[in-house]
Amino acid sequence: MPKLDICISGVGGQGSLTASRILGEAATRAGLEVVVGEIHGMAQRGGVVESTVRIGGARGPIISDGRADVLLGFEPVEAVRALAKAGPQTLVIVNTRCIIPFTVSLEGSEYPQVEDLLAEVRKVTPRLVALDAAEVAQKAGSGQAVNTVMLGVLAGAIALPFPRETLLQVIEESVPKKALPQNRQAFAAGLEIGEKG
Amino acid sequence: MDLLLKGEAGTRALLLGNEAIVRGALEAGLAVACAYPGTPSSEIADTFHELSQKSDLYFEYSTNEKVAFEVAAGAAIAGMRAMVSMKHVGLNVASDPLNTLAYTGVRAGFVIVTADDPGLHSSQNEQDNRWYAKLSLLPMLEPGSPQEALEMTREAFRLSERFGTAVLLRTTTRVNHSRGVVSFGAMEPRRFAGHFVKEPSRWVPVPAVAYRLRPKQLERAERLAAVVDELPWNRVEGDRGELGIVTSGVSASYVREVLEELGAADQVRVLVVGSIHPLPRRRLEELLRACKKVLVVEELEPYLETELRALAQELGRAVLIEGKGERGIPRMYELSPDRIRPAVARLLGRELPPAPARALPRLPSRPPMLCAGCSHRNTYYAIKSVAEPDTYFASDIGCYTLGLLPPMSTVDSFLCMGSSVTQAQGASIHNPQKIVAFIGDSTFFHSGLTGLANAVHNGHELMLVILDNSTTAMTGHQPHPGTECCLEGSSKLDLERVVRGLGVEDLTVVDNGDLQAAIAALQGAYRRQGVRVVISRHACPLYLRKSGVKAERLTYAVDPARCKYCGTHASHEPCGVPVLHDDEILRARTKLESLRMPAGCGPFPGLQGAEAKMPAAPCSFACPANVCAFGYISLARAGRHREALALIREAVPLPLVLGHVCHHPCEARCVRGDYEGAVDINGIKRFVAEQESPAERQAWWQGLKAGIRPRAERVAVIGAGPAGLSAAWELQLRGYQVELFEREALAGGMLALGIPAYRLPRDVLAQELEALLAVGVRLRTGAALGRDFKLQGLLAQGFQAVCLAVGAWRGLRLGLAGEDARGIDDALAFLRRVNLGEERRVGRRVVVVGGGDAALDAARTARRLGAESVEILYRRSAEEMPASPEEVRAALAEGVRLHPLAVPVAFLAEGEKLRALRVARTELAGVDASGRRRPVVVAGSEAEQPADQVILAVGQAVEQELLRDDLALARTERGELRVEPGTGRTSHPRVFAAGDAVTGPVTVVAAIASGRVAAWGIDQALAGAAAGRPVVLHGPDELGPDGARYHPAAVRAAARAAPAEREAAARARDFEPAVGGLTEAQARAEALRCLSCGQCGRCNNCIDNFGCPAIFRREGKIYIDEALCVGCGICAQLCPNDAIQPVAEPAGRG
Repeated sequence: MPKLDICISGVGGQGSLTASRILGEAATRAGLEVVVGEIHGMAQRGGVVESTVRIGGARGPIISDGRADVLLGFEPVEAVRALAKAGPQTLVIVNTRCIIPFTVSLEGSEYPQVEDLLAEVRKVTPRLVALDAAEVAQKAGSGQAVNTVMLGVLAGAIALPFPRETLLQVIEESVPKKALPQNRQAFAAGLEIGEKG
Repeated sequence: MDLLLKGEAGTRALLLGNEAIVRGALEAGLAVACAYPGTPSSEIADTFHELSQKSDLYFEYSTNEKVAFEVAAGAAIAGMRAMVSMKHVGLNVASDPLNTLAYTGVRAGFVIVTADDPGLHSSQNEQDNRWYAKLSLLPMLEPGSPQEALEMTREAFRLSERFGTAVLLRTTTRVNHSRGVVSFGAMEPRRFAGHFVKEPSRWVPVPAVAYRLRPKQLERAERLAAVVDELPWNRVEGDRGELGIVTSGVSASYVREVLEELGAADQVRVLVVGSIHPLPRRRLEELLRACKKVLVVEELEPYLETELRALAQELGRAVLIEGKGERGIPRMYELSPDRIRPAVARLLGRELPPAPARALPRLPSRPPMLCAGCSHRNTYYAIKSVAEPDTYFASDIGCYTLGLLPPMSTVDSFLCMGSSVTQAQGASIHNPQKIVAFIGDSTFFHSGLTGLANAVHNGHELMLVILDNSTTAMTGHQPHPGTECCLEGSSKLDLERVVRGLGVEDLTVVDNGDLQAAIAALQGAYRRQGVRVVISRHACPLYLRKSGVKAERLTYAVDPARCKYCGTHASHEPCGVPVLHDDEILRARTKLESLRMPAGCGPFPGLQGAEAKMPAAPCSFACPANVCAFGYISLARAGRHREALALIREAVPLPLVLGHVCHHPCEARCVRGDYEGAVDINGIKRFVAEQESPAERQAWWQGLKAGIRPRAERVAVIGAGPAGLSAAWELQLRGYQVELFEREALAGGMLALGIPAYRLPRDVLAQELEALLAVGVRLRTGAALGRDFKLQGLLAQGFQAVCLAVGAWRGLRLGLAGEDARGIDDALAFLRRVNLGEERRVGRRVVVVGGGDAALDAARTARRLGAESVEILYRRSAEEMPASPEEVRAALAEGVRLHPLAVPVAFLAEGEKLRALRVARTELAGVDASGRRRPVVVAGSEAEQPADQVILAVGQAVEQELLRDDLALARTERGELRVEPGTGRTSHPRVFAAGDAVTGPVTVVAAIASGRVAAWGIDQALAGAAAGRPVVLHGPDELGPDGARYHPAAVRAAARAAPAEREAAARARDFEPAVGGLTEAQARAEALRCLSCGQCGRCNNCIDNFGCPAIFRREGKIYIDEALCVGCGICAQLCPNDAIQPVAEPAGRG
């Protein structure tokens, strides 16, 4: 069975946990073995949230350093913080929309330049897709759909071991009915960005 | 979730480990479930809760783990299958019933879930609860995946009923919070045949009974040991070779992964242990017999390892057993494939190269924090604004523990649930320190009640704040006894009545959504003694949103016109001096406590419009130079004298001189003056200036000088009085080549020649003048305008601009008969001669005419020179004298006599020599042009007053002859130079003017201020767009509401300090300083009296002290993130600048 290890990092409240559940559910429907690793508790409180999706084989929820196939960074600093999971083969997808941690305001320090953060990613792997997923979601009609955009990019950028339609279907089941058209559009927009690489 | 209830056997679903446990329990026919939520176990409880709404399953959130344990155990003893779930430390709370239930056993199946947290993801320790199995001898199973979690839970119930004992199911975070594909089994029907069957020899473990239960307990453990080997989760993977691994739980998956990675899956015998207690002895024995070398891979303590070593010894097997150790399996924190890889490789005889270290850039940390709108933040902010710095905050477990981090830092300790209440009591014994204990509402019901009872009973010193957000927020908003709950027949306990019921007399309840009320409540309790409880209540906003409560959907925004703007600096550019967090809090508190806040209005209902005036500090607006008084006072309060002095010097270059002679109009507007007398603002200024050592002063001007970026333009400043000195200083700092012309032999002008030495010691003046000139100003003394040079000439010589600061040195005369008699003198001329040492003689009987500072200086100087009598005649009443009251008071003390409502009408001479004056009494008629009442001579009141010297101090004017045959500059009717306001430019584009020459005789500080304005005018004229920082001064007429803001009740009484004064008789004989400066203690006490009324350009209070994540700073400006703002409005309440206002909800937010 093909294996696919996805590491997802983001900030509490962004819906990165939902993204990992959606991927896990889609894989399950395709009859694949999957493990989704989550850590709860701090999600609501603006802390760092990391999750994993491991498709194929009954394995534990933790991905070894350097061995992730995909790193899905919902926020640029958090993408770099999780960079230990990435290696030269890793595809890194970064949402470039920053969420400035309060510590930056409090210490009077500055949030790093996004370009510098992306350069850090490039030091590890040439496979980088960077996009402002918030803007893409906004254009699709719903700022809430960052999740869907990121999943669309993922589906566009690699050959997932299950049909895109299954993924879209799980996404559709996870969003409110009235937000369906926007999420479909967000997914399509993500796909396009992912396909272009 | 319905799937868990209805899914048929064979269903495959992606389940969280915790959900799989629930399904397993349901498949086993569970009837009763109880829990106290705690990460990572919470979803078990929450899922049961949800399912109990849709089925006949009974579930309750119990008050704590012990209660949950006992309720569930009670059900199991009464014949109903039951489960209790908790986090690992919860089992400590429940360990009392655990260890005796281990004797009595149960009738129906009873499973205890203990969710351990290796790695301390959200716990205070990572204790290994496998030891509880060994301690209690109860069977314990440990799953390594959601599928195993389901199956083991189901099997645990079977074991429980088969052996009549409770069974422990131990999980770890990585199993609880992992999702995996799970196959369902079949459901057994739930049994609700609850009935307690009496059997005292089993259920009443008095010593005699327990004595007999004990051998049964051991025997049961033996019987269990005989069957566990057959459990399917005790399994061997790989059966070849002489290398072995023993592992369990989630670690088994790491072992599998690493062996695969290393291509050694078939070279190692792996025994996965599913029954932690009793251990599968036979399988362990087989492994020990087959292997030469065994590695034990387990998280946390060497539990399996110890058992294995004991077994090997028992069997006499010389097997090499490896486990915990520096080169082995880490004992701390959770494992991962990365962390076990080296040890597994070593087992295989390989040495892996160390993983290449990859340097990451420094990233901003992102710790979890109290949410936007969190009510705990309100309480913490309130306590911080009343507590002394060394206050010990004993805290507890809940969301509010996040107050540990800056900017709150209000968590100093905790141990376990409920420990705040009791730790605080212990710490208060023989300890005068202030202590405040915090506990959440749910935690209070969990474990705070008994501690509070102890405090009351034993008479402890305890201030307990119950942070009541009306839910168990940390673990996901579960109910608790103080909240509504959906169970039939449930009721909500009244927290107030519970606290009172525990014997607490001193109880305050406050809604912390009103910050002012919260501060008052906490301050009250803080100051009292004994046991006092404050219930600080405000619902968790997330809980409200979750439960569908529609709150007012406001959001707030920062008004950039007010934020970080003090109202006095131009261009909103703040001063260069940092503010103190304490001071920000103090300012905010003063505002909160003292504002008159009409109900339903924002803090400044009258200030909503764009044209609203700034509620700036009245002191700094009243100061002609806009010196930031409350700023330097706050720095002085903190003992930061150098920074205080630096702040003063941003506005005036002669702080020590001003500290001696300023007439301090700031104090006249001081809000404290409405109560016990104005703050001694000038005294504080003098104090901080006096703290500067000569070396520091030198370092200061050298620093300034080094920072000057020189320009080519030359500027002449004429007159080295306060205005000219100030202009020259400012121009020099702006890079100009400045030459300062002075007709006298020394600089200082009125400071040196007018003001007597007993008011301004000459060494003080000299040292400040020296420092001022040292920035590079070239002083040319003995060079008089009109006599030695002309303006035209200066401009022709290459000076690009001239600043005229020639003062108003011509004394006015009265125009009375006999005024030319010998013995009639002008005050300025008199003072000048005395100050230059040209005059030591004075009349025997001296009369001074006038009521200003010059009159007082002349009178007191005459007294010091030996005049037998000095009389002051003033034509209006004493209250209307322009001289400062302290000058008048000091003069009277020194024997000067004051005759108000008196004017000379003629001077009588004997020959040329003055003999007497004819003096008339006056009375006050209607108001004149100056706004004061006009004195009118009373007919027939004339009397003769003998005098041999009269000193006239009735006004000064500009000397007209200075500009004779020079540039024809425009003048006012009174002969002063006419200038453009804000730049000091005269009618000639390159000539500027400042000081008394423009305004007529005013004050030192006003002259200094006008010198800086003229320098700014020159800078603009010469540098254009490249000009430096603007000097824009505001007058008191621009003040917004000041005194009216303050509520007398809130202004704590504090009397004004009095500086040391020399005894009048002694000081009247010499020119030594009459009044001393404040002592350090006095200066600090005075600084504490300041109410910090004004806005501040560097205020950062919302970030420094409040720390709502919806508020952020970017490029020095503060913003509110409307996506995060929940509209609580607390920040608007506390903003000392009143810069935060509600705005309508932005479109598109639902």
